[in-house]
Amino acid sequence: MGVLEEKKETVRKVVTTKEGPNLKGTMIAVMLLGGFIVLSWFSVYWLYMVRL
Amino acid sequence: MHMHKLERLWLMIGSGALILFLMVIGVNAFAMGHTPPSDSEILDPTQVDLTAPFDDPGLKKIGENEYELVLVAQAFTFQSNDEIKIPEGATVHFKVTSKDVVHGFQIPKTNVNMMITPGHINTITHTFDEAGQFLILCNEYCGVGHQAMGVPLEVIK
Repeated sequence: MGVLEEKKETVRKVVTTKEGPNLKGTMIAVMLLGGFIVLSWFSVYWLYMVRL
Repeated sequence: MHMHKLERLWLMIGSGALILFLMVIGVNAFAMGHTPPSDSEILDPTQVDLTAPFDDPGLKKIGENEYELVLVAQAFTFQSNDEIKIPEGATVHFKVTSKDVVHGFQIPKTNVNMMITPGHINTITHTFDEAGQFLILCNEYCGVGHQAMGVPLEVIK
């Protein structure tokens, strides 16, 4: 019984955390991917221009 | 609604990109008149040999260093009554149609690349600034002889 109550307590602590999620790593990851996509667009545009 | 500031930033970048691309397409199409490398001119694909200008495919000079190259694509060649030799710096207007199936029309190392659809007159223009040997080839699988479908194009000094 005692062990079960302790577990419930731990779960409640996690759920009631008030800080928002930390999205810094997510933002960096999508910006790196976005940068790669933008770079590939400009590469294709460059290829088009030199072949014109 | 609460939204994380990075989520808001990400959505703003995404929406901004969408608006930018739609504007680029709009300006391209309506202000600069850009179209895909084909037009809506049509002909009867069973009467290609009797329809001008495809009744006499080949190279025609139409102006000062300006040529029209009319070709008929069919499995597995591009028909032309002339050898395709053009002077350096010439602008060539390609006019191509197909007698049978969909073919490709590509000249590697240039921006010439379009589909040749039967029943349509497909056009594209290119200026050859450098002399050399080029190859017009089919890049759309069209049958058992597809890999042999190509004709040389020579740009002479």
